[in-house]
Amino acid sequence: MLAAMAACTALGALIQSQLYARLERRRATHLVVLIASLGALAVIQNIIAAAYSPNILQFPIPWSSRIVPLGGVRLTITQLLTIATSLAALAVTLWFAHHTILGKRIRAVASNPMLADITRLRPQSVYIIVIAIASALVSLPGILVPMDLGLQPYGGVTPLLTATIAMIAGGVGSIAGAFVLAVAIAVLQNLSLLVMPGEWSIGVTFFIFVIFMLFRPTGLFAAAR
Amino acid sequence: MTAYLQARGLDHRFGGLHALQDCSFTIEQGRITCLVGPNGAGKTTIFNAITGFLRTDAGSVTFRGATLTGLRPQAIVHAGIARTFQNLRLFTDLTALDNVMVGIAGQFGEEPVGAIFRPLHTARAQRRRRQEAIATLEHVGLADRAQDLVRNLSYGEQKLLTVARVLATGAELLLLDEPASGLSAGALDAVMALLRRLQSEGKTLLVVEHNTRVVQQIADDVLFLHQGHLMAQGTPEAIISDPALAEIYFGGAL
Amino acid sequence: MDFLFTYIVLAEIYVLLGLSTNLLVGIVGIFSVSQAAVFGVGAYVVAHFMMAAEPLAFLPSLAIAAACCIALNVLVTLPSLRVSGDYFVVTSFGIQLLATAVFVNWTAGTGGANGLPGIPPPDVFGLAIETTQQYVLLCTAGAGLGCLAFWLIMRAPFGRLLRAIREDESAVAAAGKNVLRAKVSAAALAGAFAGTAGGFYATFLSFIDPVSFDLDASILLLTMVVVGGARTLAGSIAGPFLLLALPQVLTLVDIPTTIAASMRQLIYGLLLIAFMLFRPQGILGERL
Repeated sequence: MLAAMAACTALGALIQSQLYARLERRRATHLVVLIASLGALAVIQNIIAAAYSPNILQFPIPWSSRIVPLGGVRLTITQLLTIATSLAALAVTLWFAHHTILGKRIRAVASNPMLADITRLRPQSVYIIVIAIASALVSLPGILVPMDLGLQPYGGVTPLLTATIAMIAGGVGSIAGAFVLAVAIAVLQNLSLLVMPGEWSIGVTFFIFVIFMLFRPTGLFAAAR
Repeated sequence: MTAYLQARGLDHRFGGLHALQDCSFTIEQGRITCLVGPNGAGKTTIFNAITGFLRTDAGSVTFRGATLTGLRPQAIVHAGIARTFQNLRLFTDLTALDNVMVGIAGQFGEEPVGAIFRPLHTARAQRRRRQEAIATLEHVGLADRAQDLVRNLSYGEQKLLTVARVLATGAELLLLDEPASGLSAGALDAVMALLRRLQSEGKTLLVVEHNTRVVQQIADDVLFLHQGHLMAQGTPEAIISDPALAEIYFGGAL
Repeated sequence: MDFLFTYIVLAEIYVLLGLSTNLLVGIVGIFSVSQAAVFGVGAYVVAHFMMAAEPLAFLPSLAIAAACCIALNVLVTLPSLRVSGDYFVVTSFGIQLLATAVFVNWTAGTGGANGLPGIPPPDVFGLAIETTQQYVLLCTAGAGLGCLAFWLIMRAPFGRLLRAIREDESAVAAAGKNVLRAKVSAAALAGAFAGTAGGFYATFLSFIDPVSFDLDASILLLTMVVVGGARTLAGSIAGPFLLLALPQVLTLVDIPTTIAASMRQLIYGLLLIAFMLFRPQGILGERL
C-alpha cells in the first residue's frame, strides 16, 4: 500500500514537472494543457491495459472480504477500512492546508500566482508538491476500491467525473465541501438504485451537476472571494 | 432636465476592499471628462460599473434617461457606450482591420445560417463593412497597417487601434482607459489630437488619465477619485490648483 | 481496391467529424470530449428512422439526425457556457459517459452492447447507393459540402467573431457582441456536422455499436484535429486521412492482437502530448 502511494506520488510529480510545467513555460493556453492531460490519461490507461490485459482483476486477499456485523449493518473489512481511511485523509488534508507552513504557501500561490512568484514562493515547485500530494491521496481509493470491486484499467474516468462534480458542487477551494458532496452524491446514487438499474447512476451524478450549474454555479461552500 | 450620463451612489466591495464608496457624478454631452486619481483609486472599477462588466453592490447608472443597471456589456454597447481596456485586450492573432470589423454593429453573416446559405450576400455586405472599417482606421491614422497582425504593431499603434475598435461600434459615449499612458511624445500628441477631433465630431469622452499635462490640455471636466471616494468634480484648473488634492495625488512631493 | 475505397469513405466521414471538432476546439477554443457521443446520436437516429416500420429515406433521416444533434449540443452547451468555459470540460465528459451508458444499456433502442445490425444502404432521390464506389461519390459530396460550409463560415463575419472569442471573450463583449449566442451557434453547427457524419457512418457500415462512439473515439477525434492542425480546413482534412492510415501501418508491426487496441490508443495519447509540447499548430494548422 505504501509502495502504491509512493509510486503515485512520484508519477504525479513527474507529470507536473515534465509535462505541465514545460507547457506553462511555453505560455501554452489552458486548452493546450487540457489536451495534453487527456493525452496523459490515454497513455497511462493503455500502458496499464497493455501490461495487465484489459480484463477485470480480483484481489486475492482473503481477509478483505470477511464480514463484520456492526449493529445491524454488515460491512466487509475493506469497506470499514475505506471509511476509516477517507475520514483520516479528510482530517489530515484539512489540517495540512490550514495549519502547516507548506499548506499556507499552497493557498497563497492559489490565490495569486503572479504575486507569489514575485515574493519567491516559487509557484512551480508548489504545483509539483500539490500534484504529488493529490496523487498520493488518489492512490488511496485506487487501492481500496479494487479490493472491494475488482480492478480494470479503464475504470478511472467515471470516478474522475464524479469527483470533479463533487468538487464543483461542494465549492471550489473547499475541502470539506467536496467531502460532504462526495458522500451526498454516493448516497443519492445508491438511493437511485431503488428506482432504476445501476448502469444509469452516471446519469444521476450528471443530473446533480446540471442542477448545480443552473442554480448555484459557485457550489455549496464556496470560499469567499 | 436629465443629465447625459448620471451615476448615483455606486458602491462596491471586493472582499475586504471597499473599491467604490457612494460615487455619484454626471457627465455632460459633447465634453471630455477626465477621471483622475492615484493607483487603486477605483477608476477602472467605475468603467467596469458603467459598462456592465461589474454589477455593483449598490447604485445606478442612467444614460440619456434610460437606466443601464443590470444590463450585459453588449447591451450597453448597443445603448451607445463603448470602452477600451487599460491592458488593450486586442485580438493579437487577427489583423488590425479584422479587429475593427469585429466591433462593427449589425453585420450580415454574423451567425452560421446566413453565412452558409447566403454567401454572396454575406460577401457583398462584408465589402461594404470593410470600407467602413478602413475609413475608421484612416480616422485614427492606421490605414497603412490595416492588413498587419496586431502583434506586429507598435504599442502606440495598438493604443490607437483600441480607439478605432470602439469607434466601429458606433457608440457616442467613449470610455477610454489610459489612452495616453506609456506613449512617446510624438504618439502622445497624435492621441490628444485624435481625442479633440472625436469631440468635434460630437462624441462624448470619459478618459482615465494620469498625466496632468494631458489632463490640462484636453479635459473640460475632471473627476477626482481617491480610495473609492469621489473627492471632487470641476474644471482642470480648479482641481489641479487644489492643494489638498495635489497632496493626495503626489503624496506630499509638492 | 475495395479496401482503398473503404479507407477513403471512412476518412471522409472523419473529415466531417474533424470539422466539427475543429470548430469547437480549434476555432472557438472550447475543450470538448463529447464529439463522439454526438456522432453516435446521429448514427443511431439515422438507423432508427431508416429501420422503422415505415422507413424514411436517407436524406430526411439525415436531416432529422442533424436536427437532433443540433438540439442536443445547444441544450448541453447552454447551461455550462453560461457559467464558464472550464465547467464545459466536466459537461462534455459527462455527456460522453452518459451517452455511452445509453448506447450500451438502452437495449430496446440501440441494440445494447451487441450493436445494431442490418441498417439499409442509403438512397439519394430514389437512387440506391449500393457499391462502395457509389458510396465514395456520396461521401465525397457530403464531405465536400461540409468543407464548403466550413470555408464559408471562416470567411464570414461569424468566423471572425469566433476567432476573436477564442482570444478574448471580454473584449468581444466590449465590442457589443453576444458571446454566448455565438458560442452556442458554433456548438449547434458542430452538432450538425457530427450528426451528419453519424448518418453516413451508420449506413455505410450497416452496423453500429457503442464502441465506435465512446470516450476513446472522442480522443481519436481530438488527436486527428491536433495532428492535422487546429483552426484550418486543410488540417481537418489531413488529420483523419493520416490517423486512419495508422492502424494499417501498425498491422505491419508484429503486436499481439489482444493489446493492439490498447497500443493504438496509447499512440494517440502520445501523439496528443508530443504535439502539444513540440508542435501545437499540428502539421497544417495554426497555434492552439
